[in-house]
Amino acid sequence: MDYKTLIEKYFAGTTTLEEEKRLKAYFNSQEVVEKELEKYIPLFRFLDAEKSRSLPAGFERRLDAELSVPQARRFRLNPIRVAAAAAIFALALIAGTLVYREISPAPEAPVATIDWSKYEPKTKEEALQITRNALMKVSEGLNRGVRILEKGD
Amino acid sequence: MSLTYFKQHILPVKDKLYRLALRILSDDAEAQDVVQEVLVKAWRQQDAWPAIRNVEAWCMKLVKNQAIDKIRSGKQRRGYLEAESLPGLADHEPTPLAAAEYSDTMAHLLKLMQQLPEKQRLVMHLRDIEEMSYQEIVELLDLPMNQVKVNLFRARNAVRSLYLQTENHGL
Repeated sequence: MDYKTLIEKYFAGTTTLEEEKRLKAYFNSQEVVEKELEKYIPLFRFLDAEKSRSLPAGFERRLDAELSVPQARRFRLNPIRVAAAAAIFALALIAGTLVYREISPAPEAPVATIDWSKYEPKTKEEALQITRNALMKVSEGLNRGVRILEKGD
Repeated sequence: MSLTYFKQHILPVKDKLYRLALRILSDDAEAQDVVQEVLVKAWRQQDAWPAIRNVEAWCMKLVKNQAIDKIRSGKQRRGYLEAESLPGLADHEPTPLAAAEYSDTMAHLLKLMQQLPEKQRLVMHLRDIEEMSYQEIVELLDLPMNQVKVNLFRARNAVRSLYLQTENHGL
């Protein structure tokens, strides 16, 4: 197949990889290119030159330095994880405080002690007297109530 | 053992990874950063190596994803590729003037290629520069076969048309 037909196939997108390599070799060689195909020389030389692009010297040295860094030193804090950990810690702290309060006995408040024994009657007579006094108080109260009712009529 | 495997199977593809990152990002420093990040990631994932069928394709995919993520996150710098940095670019030319003109032409072609839409640019890069098969491109870019072929057709014809247009009317 001649190069003119090949170049038409190339721009139609129907060339094989082998045919494309033939075209590149043709346009990058020192042999004389057909007059009407000369305009394509720069394009194929450009494609060939682009394939020779490579990383600058020193890249591998930088890469080696990066690869020799232990992984642990490359650890970076994730802000979301830090926030989540802080929230969990705060919740645990609150829950712990509540549980501690629940299980620990509350300190006893000071209670005033009253000596009730001094109010206890010592004899039967004294008990009878106290009862009488109490009944008298009740009776007085009832009588006062009756009087108030009578006045109201 | 793992260092030997890394040096024999992963490190040799670093330039190919760099060219892909450069094609996506159009910035030399950014492309180097992406390649370094991917190689470090590959090194750290030694446990995954035995299960990887094609380690070169795996690394290429990592670079593609990382570079595209960088663009989408808006963190990439807006640099520009320099055609002058290509080794032996003007070796064909007999005089300094011819070499300078030749460099200008290469820079112009580079600019045209970088201006293509992303899919067209990547498909043309993978096929015409890296000489990958259609199937490999389909798997790397997650595009259907017909999309790969259509994008390649459009990219080649766009570059040709724009280049010949400027050649005929002057740069």
